[in-house]
Amino acid sequence: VRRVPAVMATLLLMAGAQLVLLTVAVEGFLGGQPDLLGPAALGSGMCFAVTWTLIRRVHRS
Amino acid sequence: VDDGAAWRDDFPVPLSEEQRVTRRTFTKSLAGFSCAAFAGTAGLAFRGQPAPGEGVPALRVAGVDEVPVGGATVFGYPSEGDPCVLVRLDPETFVAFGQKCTHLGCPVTYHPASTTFHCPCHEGFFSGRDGAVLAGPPPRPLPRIRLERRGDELWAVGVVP
Repeated sequence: VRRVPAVMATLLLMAGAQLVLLTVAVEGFLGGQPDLLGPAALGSGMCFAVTWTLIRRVHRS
Repeated sequence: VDDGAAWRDDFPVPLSEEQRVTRRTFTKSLAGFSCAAFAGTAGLAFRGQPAPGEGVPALRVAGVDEVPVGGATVFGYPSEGDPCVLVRLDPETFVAFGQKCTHLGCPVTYHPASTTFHCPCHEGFFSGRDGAVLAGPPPRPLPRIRLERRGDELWAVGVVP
């Protein structure tokens, strides 16, 4: 039960990180810096994977 | 519980109309947001990468006599969706640059009086001679288009990022 607040905090952190990465990707796309786009997408994918895993665990508990 | 406290009058939503959001609903919303953010970032990454094996074609830009000294003309290179500006600095000197500001992609305009490019969105200025940033928020120079003179014609043959 005590794990749930930590998981929720982590989920919010992941959402914040994805928002930052999306902002970086938009700026890279509009500003002609395509080298930023790949790492941003990779990072966002990792955040999504962490989010998905944590949510599944929370729903099971 | 409606205890009649005075502060409840300051809230626009009556207690009876409040909706309880369960943890499951909230986490589902987070999952949706996460998926959408990932899809958006991946979509931008997909669209922003040059196609594999995509060569840069040569393109006729203009005839030498079509651009007056101090004048400029707009063309698309390497595709029609990539606006560029050709500038004739003096009778024998032509330069060309991408027209998208390196800050946030607004189109820059050429000012022959000062030999500069101006971005009206955030007041960015670039040199009309080499595309270097002179003032404002742009982080990099304008991409330069390599030109080749073939007889009385000017051809774009490459992009220097």
